[in-house]
Amino acid sequence: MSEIAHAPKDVEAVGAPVLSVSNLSITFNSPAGPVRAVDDVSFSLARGRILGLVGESGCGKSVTASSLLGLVRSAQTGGRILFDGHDLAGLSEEDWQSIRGSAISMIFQEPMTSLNPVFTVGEQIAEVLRVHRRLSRAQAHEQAVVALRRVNIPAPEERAKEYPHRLSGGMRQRVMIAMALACEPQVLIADEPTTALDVTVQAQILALIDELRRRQGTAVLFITHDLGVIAEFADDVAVMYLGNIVERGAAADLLNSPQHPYTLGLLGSTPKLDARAERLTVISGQVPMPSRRPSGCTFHQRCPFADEHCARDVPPHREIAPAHWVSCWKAPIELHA
Amino acid sequence: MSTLAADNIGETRESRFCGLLRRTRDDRRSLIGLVIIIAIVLMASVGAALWPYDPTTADFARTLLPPNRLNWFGTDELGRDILARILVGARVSLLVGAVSVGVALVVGTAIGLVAGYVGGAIDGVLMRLMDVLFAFPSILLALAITAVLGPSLQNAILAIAVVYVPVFARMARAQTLVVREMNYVEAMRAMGMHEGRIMVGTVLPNILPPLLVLGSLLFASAIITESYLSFLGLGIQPPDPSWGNMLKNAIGFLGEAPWMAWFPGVAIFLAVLGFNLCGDGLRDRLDPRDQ
Repeated sequence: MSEIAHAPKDVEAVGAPVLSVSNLSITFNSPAGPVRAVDDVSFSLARGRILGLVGESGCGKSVTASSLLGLVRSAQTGGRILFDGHDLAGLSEEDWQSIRGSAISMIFQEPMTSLNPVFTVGEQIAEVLRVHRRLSRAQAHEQAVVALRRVNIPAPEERAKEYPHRLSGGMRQRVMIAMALACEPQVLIADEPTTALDVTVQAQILALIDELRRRQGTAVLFITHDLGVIAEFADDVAVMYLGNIVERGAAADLLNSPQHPYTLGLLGSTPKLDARAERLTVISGQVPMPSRRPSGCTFHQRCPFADEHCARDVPPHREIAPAHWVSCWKAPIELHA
Repeated sequence: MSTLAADNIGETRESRFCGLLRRTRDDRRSLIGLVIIIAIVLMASVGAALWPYDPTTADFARTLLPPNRLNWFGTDELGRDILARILVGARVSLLVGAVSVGVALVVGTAIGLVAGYVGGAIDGVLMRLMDVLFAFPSILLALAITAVLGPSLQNAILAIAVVYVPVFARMARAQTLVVREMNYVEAMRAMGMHEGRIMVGTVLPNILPPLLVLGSLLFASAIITESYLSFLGLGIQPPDPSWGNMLKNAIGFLGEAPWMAWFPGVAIFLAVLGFNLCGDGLRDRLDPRDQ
């Protein structure tokens, strides 16, 4: 079976970079002028590791994810996306199609509506296999059952004949994962895959993704606004704010000693720096419209530490500790527990 | 069109068809519709062969007779047996309804699907063309087409099909605009499906059910439209009967021989009812959520 060929060949392979994004920027044209949704974003995904991409709604997480699949339309994209050593920037639509679902896959936030209601789940998974693997109908159906079994769906032969409406939300998300992983992609992009599910099902889905990346060595980009989820199972974290990655590093490191005021705010921790610091438990103000990006540090209007320097100059993305980057003039922030 | 969709259904196609039949049997409404349609088809084939009267032979000794022992449905102004004409006319009416609606369904759906899915300039051009067709009153348009092509049944069918194409195209486009924004379409794109395959394999099966119901409704008006055309001498040529031209013919005798209008009217009513019931049932059955 072909899936064995795609399995990680050795342990050393884990951690090797598969996809790296450098200086990615995405600008949409709106009637009111260009809107920069993603600005100078860099990160990389490694074999068998999970990168958590955290941020509020509208910070550019999902656009970043879509751009990794070439699904962002009518926007100017800058920067470089290297996948397996190849630049994806100049790919034709046809080349993209051979990558999507086969080398890079994506699962979505809404499992309830992400499956076609008029076909059985088996047919839908088989369709993907037939396109990418050029399997016969019978082989594709067989592999679809294998894919369903792989995501721990009980009685996969029976479930393959079910229509999506007969399955629960958690079950549908499993089917989506089975479909996304059917062709053994090297990269899985999970765009808030557990947001629409209830908590116990959430834990099952997370455990499943965790298990699959260990078994198949898939690199995972996990997009969420839930830091609890990140703390639980991401290896690395990147925090996004208004189209920028403001802080990134190993999950344990970043969550234990966050260096960007925005990360601090998200974590709801209380730095005992001075009396004003207590306001940090809630991030004051609102996320500015992307069309009205503040000057200097984009966070300065809401930042309790900000001064005129922050309002004037854009802070560089610098390595403040080994493998821990932050874009803040004030970092390192002294925390007194 | 449906063969393309069926291609994706794969190995379960056979069982799905059997399931459709089984559910049709369980659903009284579509069962009645199916029985009516089968009855009409049988009448048009077997019945017309068995009934002793010729539909076009005039008998001036027996004109305008009410229903009686020999002429169950009575006779018309030329003494022709009305039942014989109904039976033979069924062929014409069914043919007109099925072929014109079928052609319009296929062409209109294709145009609406492409316009709605591709959008942009193609959408603009296709739908403006449809608007032009739609702007004419349907009878006028059908008249113009048959007048240009010459009066024959074939041209009448073609004219009716042309009239209905924009109706299907508009509905198909509206449905496509809704379906193409669905998450599962974007998910298919993210799975690397190319646009043509998404359009035919994913969007088309989802927009089809309401179009089939529309088809069953238009089937009725196709029969009526054929009657106008034959009344104006542009459809089937006398003395050959169709339900439509019988009804038109009866108008002049409503006072003295109302049965001339009753029977073709009832025949049209029953055919329309049968197809509507079936269309309704089909729509329900095609949506897996209702199974």
